[in-house]
Amino acid sequence: MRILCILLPHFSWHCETLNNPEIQGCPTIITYNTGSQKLVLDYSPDLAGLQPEMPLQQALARYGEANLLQADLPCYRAIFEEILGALEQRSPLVENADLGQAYIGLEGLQMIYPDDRSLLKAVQEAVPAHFSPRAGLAEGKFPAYLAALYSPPEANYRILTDGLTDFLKGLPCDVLPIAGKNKACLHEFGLHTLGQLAALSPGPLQAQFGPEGRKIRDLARGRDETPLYPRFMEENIEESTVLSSVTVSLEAILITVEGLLTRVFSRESLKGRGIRSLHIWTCGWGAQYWEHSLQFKEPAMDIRSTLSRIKLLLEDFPQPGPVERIGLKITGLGYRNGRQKSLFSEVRAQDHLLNDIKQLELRLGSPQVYKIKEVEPWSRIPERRYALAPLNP
Amino acid sequence: MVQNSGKTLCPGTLKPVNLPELIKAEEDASGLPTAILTPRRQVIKTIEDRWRIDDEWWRREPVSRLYCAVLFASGQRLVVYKDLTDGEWYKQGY
Repeated sequence: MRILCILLPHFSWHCETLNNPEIQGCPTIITYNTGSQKLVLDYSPDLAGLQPEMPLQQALARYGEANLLQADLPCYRAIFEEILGALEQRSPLVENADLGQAYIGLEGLQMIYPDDRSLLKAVQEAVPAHFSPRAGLAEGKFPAYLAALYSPPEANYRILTDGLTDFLKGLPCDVLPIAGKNKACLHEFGLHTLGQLAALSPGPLQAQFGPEGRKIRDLARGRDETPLYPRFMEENIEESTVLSSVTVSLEAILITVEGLLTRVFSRESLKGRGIRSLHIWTCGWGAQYWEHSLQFKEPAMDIRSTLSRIKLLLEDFPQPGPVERIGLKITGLGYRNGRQKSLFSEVRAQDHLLNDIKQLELRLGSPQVYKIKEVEPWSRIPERRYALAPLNP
Repeated sequence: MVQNSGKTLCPGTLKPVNLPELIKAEEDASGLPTAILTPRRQVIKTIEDRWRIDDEWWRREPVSRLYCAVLFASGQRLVVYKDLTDGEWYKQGY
């Protein structure tokens, strides 16, 4: 299948220049935290020798005077979502590969765009010129990616129809989407270009690298059978707010979340539906980012039940620091599950009772009603014979 | 009593039942109770039964108790025991 790859190089840096134009021309490194490690997310184009996911210390050893910015991932994702939405106006098959990288399927678009140039023009119009988009068109995702990566600067696009082998043979092995240690291994074997890899038979590569060896050979030959996974459009509701003052108090965070949930549940589009899954994020002072997802076994139909689950989550996973912004993204909406009630009133009364007990538990956060269970009824020690177990385990 | 559904019990959520309660008691020379002082002094009319249990001797805190089923003058019955490891009196349903 013919695929168009859109690359937005240094996407995060370009997002930062939208809000802070003064950083243009200054060497800048955008950093993010993963666990206790600080890594480079992006950097200004004039800093040669840096790579994404490089340890920050290594980057600072090269460019000690560079400005450091903490990554604002929700902002970058929101901007990229807008761009993807604009691309979906051109083609329904858009895959979000990574931040700043997307693939577009061209199947069935011949009636709308009679030739490749009109398609490229339409796609480039969907992406703001500020991001300096590059496009590559080829058979398969990997060749399309390489075509975009090595597009000529004067045109910012490359169309690969014939001559794929000639185009690939001089490219370095480092462009392959494989583990870093395997790339180092290829260089140690003296295999530096895709042409050298393509000339090998599959046996030695598979023997050395396992299943990835076959993938390496196929990609070096420009053969990529990976299917396109288009975005699944589902209704999302997003609400966020900036706190009036930076806080570490759980109560203050919960009050803010309750306010966000009130806004969510008051929306006309949610009427009659509940929340099946939500994503909560916070951005702290010093741009420390925290996020978690919650799934509900049954759709949460009111604020109280949703808030009690969020409270448990916030207690189990404390914030890394003071919180400045909070956001909610509701990704799953569903109707209440239908239940067939019993004809007999005694059984219905039992159902009502169990439901009330469950609601009490959700409200107070711990089991409130217990039942007596036999543990060691034969024991001579009386307190070992029975125990209280929650009615709804 | 709820019938055993066969579900796996989660030990963390279980609570004990029928735990012993500490009481004060007067005892005679042989170590048997003559009066219970908690919540107020009640003289024991007769000791209807007594038995001893010694269990879990391998633990750091073995179980060694002398149980007495007592009858008060008011007609009330109670089961009390003396913990032979610490010498305290407790009341517990048996």
